[in-house]
Amino acid sequence: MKIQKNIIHTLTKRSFLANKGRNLVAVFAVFLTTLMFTALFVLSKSIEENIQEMNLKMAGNRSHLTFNYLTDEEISRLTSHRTVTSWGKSIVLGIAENKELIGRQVEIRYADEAYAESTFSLPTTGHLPTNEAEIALDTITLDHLGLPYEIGQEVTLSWRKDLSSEDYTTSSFILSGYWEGNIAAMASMAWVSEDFIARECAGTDQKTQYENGQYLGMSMLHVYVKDNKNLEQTAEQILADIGLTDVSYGINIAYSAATSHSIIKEIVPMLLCMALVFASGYLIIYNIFQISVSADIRFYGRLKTLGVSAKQLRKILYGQTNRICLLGIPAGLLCGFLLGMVLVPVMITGIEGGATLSANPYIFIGSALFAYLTVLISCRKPAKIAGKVSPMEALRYTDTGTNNKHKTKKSANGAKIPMMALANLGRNKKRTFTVICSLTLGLVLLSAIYAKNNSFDLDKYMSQKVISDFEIKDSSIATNFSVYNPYGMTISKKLTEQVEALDGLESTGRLYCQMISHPVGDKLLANIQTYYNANERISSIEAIDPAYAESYYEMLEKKECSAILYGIDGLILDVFSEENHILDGAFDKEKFLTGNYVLVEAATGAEEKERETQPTYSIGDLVDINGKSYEVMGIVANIYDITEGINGDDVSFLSFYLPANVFGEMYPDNTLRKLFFNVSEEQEAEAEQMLHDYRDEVDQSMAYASKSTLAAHYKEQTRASSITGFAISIIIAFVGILNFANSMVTAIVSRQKEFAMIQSIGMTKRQLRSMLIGEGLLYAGITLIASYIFGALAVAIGVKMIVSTSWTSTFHFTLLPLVLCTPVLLAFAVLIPYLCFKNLEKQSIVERLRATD
Amino acid sequence: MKILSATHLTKQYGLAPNIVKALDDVSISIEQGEFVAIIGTSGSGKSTLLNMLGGLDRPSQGSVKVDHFDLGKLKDEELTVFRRQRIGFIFQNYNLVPILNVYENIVMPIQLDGKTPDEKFINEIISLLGLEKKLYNMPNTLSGGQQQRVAIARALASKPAIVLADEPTGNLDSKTSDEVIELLRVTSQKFNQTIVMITHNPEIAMRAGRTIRIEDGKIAG
Repeated sequence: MKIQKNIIHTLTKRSFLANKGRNLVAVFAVFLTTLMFTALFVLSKSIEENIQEMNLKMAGNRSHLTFNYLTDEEISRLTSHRTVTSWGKSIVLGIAENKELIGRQVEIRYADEAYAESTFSLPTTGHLPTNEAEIALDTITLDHLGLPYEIGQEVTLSWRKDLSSEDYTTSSFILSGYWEGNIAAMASMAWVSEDFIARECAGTDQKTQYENGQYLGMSMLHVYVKDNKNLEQTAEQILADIGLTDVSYGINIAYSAATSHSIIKEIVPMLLCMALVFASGYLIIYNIFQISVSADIRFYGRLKTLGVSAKQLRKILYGQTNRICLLGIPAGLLCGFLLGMVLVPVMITGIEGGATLSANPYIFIGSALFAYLTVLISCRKPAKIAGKVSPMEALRYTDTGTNNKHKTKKSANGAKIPMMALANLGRNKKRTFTVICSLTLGLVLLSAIYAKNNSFDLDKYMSQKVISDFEIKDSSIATNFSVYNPYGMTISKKLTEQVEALDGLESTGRLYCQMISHPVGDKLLANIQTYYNANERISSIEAIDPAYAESYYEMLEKKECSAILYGIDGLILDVFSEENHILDGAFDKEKFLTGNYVLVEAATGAEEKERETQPTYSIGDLVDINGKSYEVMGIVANIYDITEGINGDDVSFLSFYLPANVFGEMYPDNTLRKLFFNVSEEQEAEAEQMLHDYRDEVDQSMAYASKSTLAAHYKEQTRASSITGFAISIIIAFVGILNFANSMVTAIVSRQKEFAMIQSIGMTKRQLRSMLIGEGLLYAGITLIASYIFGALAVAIGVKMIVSTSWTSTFHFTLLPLVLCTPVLLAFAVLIPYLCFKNLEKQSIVERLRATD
Repeated sequence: MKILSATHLTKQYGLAPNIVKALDDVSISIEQGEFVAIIGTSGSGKSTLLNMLGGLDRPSQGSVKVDHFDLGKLKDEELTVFRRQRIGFIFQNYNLVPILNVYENIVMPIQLDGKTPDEKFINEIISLLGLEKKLYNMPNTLSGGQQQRVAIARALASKPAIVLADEPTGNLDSKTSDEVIELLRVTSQKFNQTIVMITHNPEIAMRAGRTIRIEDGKIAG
């Protein structure tokens, strides 16, 4: 005879199998909960990793600390310090100065594998140079040199051993490896072998080289330390410990506190979503187990009379939940990860080479743990009820709330069908409440996310972003790496003519620009100082940007600063006429065009603040530019679309605007910095095509932007981020519906006998059916009322608050998703009881009356 | 040897002024190996008395002692353990666990206690009750009489101090009832097992060794 090893185990297993339907719903609920947790974890982890990676790429390396221009002796002392966990070394040779490489700094160096890895410059094809003749380059350098990506090519670089002489060395190499260039980094690396370095540096001494300000033969070190917090302190400590004083070191800003704050800011919405997922998971899993415990209470009671202790009962229940988790969680993890795979590239945009998906094992451990915790917390109460059940009560227990507080009910209406439906909902108020909460949660969330997305105002966004339908930029201001060239050839005469010949051209605006040096008079100086001393501006600038502060003090001392002089005409003048753009004075276009007036730029944009002294001339002041006086007509806000681009290394404290023709007389050779133009709506596509063709056929470096493509691009971006919100809220709403269906079905099935009894005393099928449908409709009705109330509150207060802080949004009150969901919910409310009733009908009244277990 | 004694048992339901006295100062004592029938009409308090004796319910006043255990002094969890070790229950509606087969039902209380069933003894009971061929059947495939025989086997399996039977024949026809009562009588004799049975049927009560009549919550002789 088979001996049962553990009866509790058998009971757990059998009762799990005996409640297939209920368990299926529970497994599904756990599955959905895990799926949402996993997707959110994958998203937050991916966001974190991608931001971190992006910051590292911008910083140019992964290491914690960099030590520059060291001697070999210093390196061995540094790397033997106890806090250093690993390190990479590089030896500098010089900078490649081939004609083709102008515009991109290519540093010829030796690096060990760790250093190359740390600078994102480890060859992905081929290998690091091993002999004197070999070199490894990135694709950017290869592109500049016009070489194909092929190992074994000959590469010739010219460089200087002595940076102070004009004596060039030309070296030829064989390409041994290459990798994808990192455009975000300031320079490309050209790795040569240690042997080559040894040969070229023969006879130089590192110490004298350093003293002479030469780089040849100097070593650089990338260091990883145990803890990436307080790096500055760590660096100082290391140097102090080994007794080096005049070594320059750098801290990788990607590990700074500010960077981690920006990551946290991105992840907060995810955490919020997780809290909601937990709530929705709790509501359904709690409800499923609450229902199943109520349904099984007789069973538990019977077990108890036979001697099952409360602890053993809880064990049986938890044993079942563990089985449910074992089925639901792995499936949820897998599907959640797949969902994450879909959402990550949609959510994380603007990353060079696409966002990488994080498959960190913590994601799965975390999600599984969260889901399991949700289940455990949800089951605590039902398990407690099951454990506490008194055997006598359990045998009498019916799932109808026997602890009715009302001893009598004052009602003379008799047993009317709708009244009975209402009373039935009231029998288990807690369950009714949970189901309604569960449904409401999803619907409110859906409404809030929709309202938030709907508030995005493209026109508002565009008016801040661009001032015309199209704009063409000189290629020198199109990237963040180059300095504006006033004689750039991008906006050529030919291009200007083509624009002017466009059909439907409505207006153009030309922008010229020059950097000038401008004397700072006492009155102007007073204005500037008033501004920078207010609100402790200069001290906070000192903390953030010491170079800027230095220029400021230099200006105070020299009474001179660099300034930007713009020449403008056409539609730019119309933009200045718009409200908010003129901060002080009045702009009169005709008067301005006489050529006797100047506009000066303010430090701040069009903020809704009290007017304060701007760090520039005041209205009516006379400004001397290139030997002629101009009267200040107005102070104009900094409009990014006009001023974008890097103008040089010097900090410019002043900006002047003169009419384009006046500017042209001063600088006849100056080419256009930007050309703005508007065309009629019908001609937009044609204009875009013209620019596109011009770029492909004439000048590939020509950069242009159009309002329509910008708008499409932005729309795509916002749509992407809203998909996640909608996905989560739809799943939560779906969980709500599942909860509703489950409660409704079990409520009907568990009352079979009761219905048989009512029918036996004369309720017709039709009456029973309308009573059940009435219950469903009441559920839906209460849910909808709650959803409308809370949805309206969430949208009118919550969403409005979020939207008001965003300059790209205009708040519109809307509950459209709720309105759309209303008929769906009502349909479910009718359909589910109807189907249950159909199923009920299959058995005769007598059968149902007799049915016990 | 006295195996059970109840002294001055009182059980009240409800609150003043609607107090219902289900039991009113009942004292009984039962010897080892006795087969006692407690007889009374519906609502006389006999089921309440049985629940008290088995530790399923607690008296308002008075005490119950079984095999040296004072039930009033046991906590709920201790009472559960006491029940599965010392009391075998037989219910009117059999109370078999629907998800366990016949054999599993029989040995369940023993296994709940973490003990290994005494196979020889169990086999003896099984053959005495004629259940050999039904061991792997699920309860819902058995007739009422068969189910009640399983319940009897289960009650006996842990060699309890007392078997308490609550209207064991209530759901059975007269022929099957006869068989069940006969089995109870035989097992009582064979294993020297104390059995306390509740019934409203005087004919069945007659078959027991001793009869205690209860009326309106009081012993009526």
